[in-house]
Amino acid sequence: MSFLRQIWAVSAMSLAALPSRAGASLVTVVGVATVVGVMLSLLGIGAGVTGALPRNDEPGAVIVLATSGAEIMGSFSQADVAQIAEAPGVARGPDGKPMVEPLAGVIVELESKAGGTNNILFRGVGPAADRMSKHPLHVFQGRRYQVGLHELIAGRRAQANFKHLDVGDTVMLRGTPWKVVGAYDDKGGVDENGIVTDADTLLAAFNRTTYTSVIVKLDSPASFRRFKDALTSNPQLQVQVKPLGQYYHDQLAALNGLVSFVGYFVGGVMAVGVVFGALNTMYSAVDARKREIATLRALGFGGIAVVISVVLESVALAIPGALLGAAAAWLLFNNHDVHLGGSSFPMAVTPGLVVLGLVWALMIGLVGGLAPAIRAARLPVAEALRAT
Amino acid sequence: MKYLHLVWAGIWRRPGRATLTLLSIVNAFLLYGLLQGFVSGLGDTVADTHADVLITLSRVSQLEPLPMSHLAQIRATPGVKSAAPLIIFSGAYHTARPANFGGFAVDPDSFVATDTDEAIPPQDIVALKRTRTGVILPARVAAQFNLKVGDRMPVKSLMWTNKDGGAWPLDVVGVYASNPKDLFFGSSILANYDYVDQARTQSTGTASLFVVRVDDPAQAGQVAQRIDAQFANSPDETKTESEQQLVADQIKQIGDIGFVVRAIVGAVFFALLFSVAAVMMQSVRERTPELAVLKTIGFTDTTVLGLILAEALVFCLVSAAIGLGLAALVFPLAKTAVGFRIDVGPVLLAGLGLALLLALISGLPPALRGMRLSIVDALAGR
Repeated sequence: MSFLRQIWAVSAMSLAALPSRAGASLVTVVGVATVVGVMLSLLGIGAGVTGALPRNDEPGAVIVLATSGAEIMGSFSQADVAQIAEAPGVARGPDGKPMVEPLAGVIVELESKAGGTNNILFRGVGPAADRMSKHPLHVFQGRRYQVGLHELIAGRRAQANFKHLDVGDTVMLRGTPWKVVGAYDDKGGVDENGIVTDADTLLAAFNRTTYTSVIVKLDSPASFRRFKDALTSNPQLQVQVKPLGQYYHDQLAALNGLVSFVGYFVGGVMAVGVVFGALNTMYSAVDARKREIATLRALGFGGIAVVISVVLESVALAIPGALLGAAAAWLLFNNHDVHLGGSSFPMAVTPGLVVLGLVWALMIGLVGGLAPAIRAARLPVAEALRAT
Repeated sequence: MKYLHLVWAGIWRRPGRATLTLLSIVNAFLLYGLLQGFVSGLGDTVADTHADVLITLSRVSQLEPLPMSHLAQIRATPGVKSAAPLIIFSGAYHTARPANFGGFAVDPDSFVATDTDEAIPPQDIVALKRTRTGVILPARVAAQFNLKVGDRMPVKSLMWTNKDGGAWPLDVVGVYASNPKDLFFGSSILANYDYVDQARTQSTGTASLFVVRVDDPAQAGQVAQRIDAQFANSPDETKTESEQQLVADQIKQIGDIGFVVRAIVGAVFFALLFSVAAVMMQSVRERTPELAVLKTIGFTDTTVLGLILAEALVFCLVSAAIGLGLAALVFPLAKTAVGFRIDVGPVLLAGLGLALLLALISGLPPALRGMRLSIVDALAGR
């Protein structure tokens, strides 16, 4: 009898007998389902955070920030902006002007739809903003703000999270009424959780004279080093320079790292617990099949075939558990808004995460099945045949 | 009690299975203890706030500075005992591996007047007043960077750029014992308001917030309203809240931690319940003849029920105690990591309650089965 046929025969037998051990088998299925469900839900938060990265990945776009590193804490006067525009490597637009865009950002508190107040980023951008980005903000309702008027456009997620941001509403900011004239989306990026107006209008309304960061388009990504060196060696500027894509990534990296750590930690600890349960299940399964296994061995079936059949049974219980858990995580939490660090992200239970859940389940099944499998293969045949 | 030996023997009838089950319960309660301990630590932080302290922030947002001209008006408000301007000065120390810490620039005299815990030694305040670039460190930060009085500490602020070169060259003038009861100021570095305000590139003449101490904690709500009313409809409207409200809001900003933890713990215990119930059921089924013998020699139905329930109880409580004990061992480590005190007592008690529930739910069906066993059928193997 060939080896593969042996494995097939023994595995088919053990799987066919599964329903008779339904109670104990269910323990593994439920256990694996909860581990995978919880872990994918937690990691889904991290995937949501990553998925919320702004889509402005324009090569050659860089951001100039204060040395402190926060987008909203910088202080750039008109003179500073002019100096940045004269730095080497800055691209020029069709009109011959350098492509430099000062931004103004303030954090404001608005009434949250969930009750209470929450922070939101109020960004001021200049007229060149659209030329600077590969994917300019897309106004899908209403119109753009007019420069000089207290008008703003609201992001799609901001509208979902805050009161008074529907087109036509008026919202009070620092004692001044602002009219919401449009709504924009940004391909699901984190910028959708914000409100936007003209930079100079914003500065005037908030009694400020300096911009908070500067976006620059370089003539080529290769000019980055030259541009950065020119700025950081300028004693009149205290700045740091980062590629825009990297800056956004860094912003969320810490948050993402923390969430992932919690996900893997909780998933790991839970998995250990479920392995104990799976071991129990498989030991009792082997116990229940003692005589059957001894008979097979007496007939000439190999030890390896028995080992594989037990491990297969364990994995066969874990995989449906993982699918069940993944399905629960997806149904409960996919696209569910999660509030984190003052911002909000839609959770994403991605196919990649489901595969991770399956791998996790496979590991639990293998570890939980191996020791009982080896015991099964080592059963002394004569003794086991006499077992009741 | 006299049956304890019997109960114990029943538990360890199958040592391998008992050990595995024990480990899975230990594991679940360890996880419960850690997560719940964290949540309850956050709750304690809220409860630990001072009743007579108000915080005045900008109504625009917590990061928007307020003009210093507000200070005199706040001090003149009826019911206000003292008020102090603060600049948020969180930063990082220039070492090979920079680590962030919280910090404030304070006016030494007025800060001491609002410091209800008197956590800062008076001689340190005197030294801070004398040294313009001085800084007082909490013991935790001093130990982390191995700094002592007299050392130079170049700080890179997360918020403010020094006109003169970006970083802030501070001189350590004092070290105070971190106050774990005070989330805001308990482990923050304290620099001089005047120095930071005049040397920063922007927002000079403003404060990030004002700390206000009231005469009568019972009147704190009215005093807060009075302060805000003075600045209503000005460009710099204020929002004055109790320290407690503010701490609670900050925790809420992190996310709905309570819900996440409850969901995880719920899922863990759901799976555990299945696992323990299956093991108990199997164990009783295997022992059917033994239970019948017990009944034959005179054990009543109720005693058998009690024996099996006791088995579940002892087993679950012992395992849970081990798991919670392990969690309690980890808490001191967690405390230094998260920086607030964790009161473990209630968490451990609730954990034991959970173990009790687990034992009852998983032990009752097999116990009932044992009770209803008929001697003749059981011995005949039917």
